[in-house]
Amino acid sequence: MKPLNALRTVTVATGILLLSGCVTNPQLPAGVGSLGSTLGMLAGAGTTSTMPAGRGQGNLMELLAQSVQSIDEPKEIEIGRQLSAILLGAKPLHPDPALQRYVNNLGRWISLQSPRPHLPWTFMVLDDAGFNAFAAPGGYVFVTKGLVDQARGEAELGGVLAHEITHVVEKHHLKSLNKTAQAALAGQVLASSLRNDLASAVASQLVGIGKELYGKGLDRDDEFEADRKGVALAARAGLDPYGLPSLLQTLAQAQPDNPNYVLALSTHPPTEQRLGALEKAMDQRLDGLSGQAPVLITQRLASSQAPVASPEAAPATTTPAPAPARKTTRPERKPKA
Amino acid sequence: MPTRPLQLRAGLLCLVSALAFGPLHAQTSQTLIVKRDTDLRQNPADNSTTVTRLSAQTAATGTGERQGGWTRIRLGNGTTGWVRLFEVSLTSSAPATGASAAPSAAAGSATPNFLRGLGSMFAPGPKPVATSTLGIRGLDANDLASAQPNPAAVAQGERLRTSASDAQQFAQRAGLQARTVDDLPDGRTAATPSQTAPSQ
Repeated sequence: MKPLNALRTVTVATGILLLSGCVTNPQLPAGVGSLGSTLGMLAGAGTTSTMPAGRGQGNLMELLAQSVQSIDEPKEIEIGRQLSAILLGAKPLHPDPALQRYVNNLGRWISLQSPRPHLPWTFMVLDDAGFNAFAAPGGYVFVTKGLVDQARGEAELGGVLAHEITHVVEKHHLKSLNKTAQAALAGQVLASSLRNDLASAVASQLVGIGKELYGKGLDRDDEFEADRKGVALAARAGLDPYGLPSLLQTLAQAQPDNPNYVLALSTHPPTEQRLGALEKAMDQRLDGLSGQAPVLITQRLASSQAPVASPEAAPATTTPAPAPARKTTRPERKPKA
Repeated sequence: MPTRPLQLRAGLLCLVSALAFGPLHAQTSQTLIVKRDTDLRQNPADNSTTVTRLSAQTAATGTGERQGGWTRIRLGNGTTGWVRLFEVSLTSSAPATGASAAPSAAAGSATPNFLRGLGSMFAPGPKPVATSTLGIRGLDANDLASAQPNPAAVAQGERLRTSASDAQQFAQRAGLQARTVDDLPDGRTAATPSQTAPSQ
């Protein structure tokens, strides 16, 4: 495993430097000792660790540095949980329970059509005026209130959710973190061996590389793949496949210095390129699946409102029968041009 | 602010009656550019009559109506018709190259409020896209860098998740039906366009 060998080489070289006294530090002997045990940990192939339970994040960093394949589903979910905590540290959950319920319903429905329907998919609306969407491993998907507001209908929102779901299905974040974790660990081993707090320092590294990932974005190819597969996924869920392209047009016309769009623009390929790639991939293949009357999100929210709904009742079955008398418009009613 | 039942009901009545008259209509129009030579069509279909031929760089305004992959536009001389979504580019820059007849507020820093459609009925007022309101700033890289992880909020979000069966009930009420759809080709590999029948 080449990258791990490189990592080992770096850490061994570091150890040699320390031993030669290039760095003077009263805690040096203990630091070298933990360096040695770190080498042992990193060289080991197992997912178990000698580190105590409280250093769970350190385990995750080791895993991330090894390979994506070595991360089983529970660990993937735990990594996603840690990354989600970052996003929710930046912006809180939106307080509207009906909105959260709707986005969870729509997102969960789409995820059922994906190759990983059984993940514990969790959809969250962030209380943020900006236009943003995020995903984290294990099934965590976020959209901002600002994006929900800009979406002209359910198909546009669904298109974004399908794009983010695809990131999770294809493990794009895990692959990206795999690369940065190796480099981060190598650096951290050197730095923290001087302080003899390697385990906790490594733990905070996961937060660090997570923040870096959300600030920089994924590889371009991952974004194009999420667009292309997201469109097909949305169509599989019965949504108008042109929802995502339509929403991308909104993004395309945003001023680059508009603060509500800065992060979305800086973390993705140029929107015109994304639209060009989608046009090529879609061609007219999915035209037969489009043409439904656009369904407004507000319309969906209004018709699904259970009058006596309590916020905590979300996991329970929603009240079905009486309300849907005011059913949403069915697709068979064709709008006039 | 969350739900406002009375307004919602009133708004819903307006909404339903408006929907009865056809597709969503724009609040204001949006400047756009036709990206390539194409036909302006009477209806949103390839076999529909050509209203007029359009050349690349033609400026127009969007009416805000979309039907699948088609969008309705209005030319400078007032003619309307449909083009493919991918054939136009919404512009945010001020002076359109051609004169657009519609006395729209879309020029310059104006807000593409048509994006909000009828949804803005439920909001306190139109929220411009082009400008950010005082004190309200979207999430940016600094927010991420300085974020203190909030695991309690994650737990709260996890409590809000819906089950697969709830999602299926939602889809049933909403009239959403699962369909079989082939993967789209990855343009970088030499993929032959597959004649996939858009099934069921």
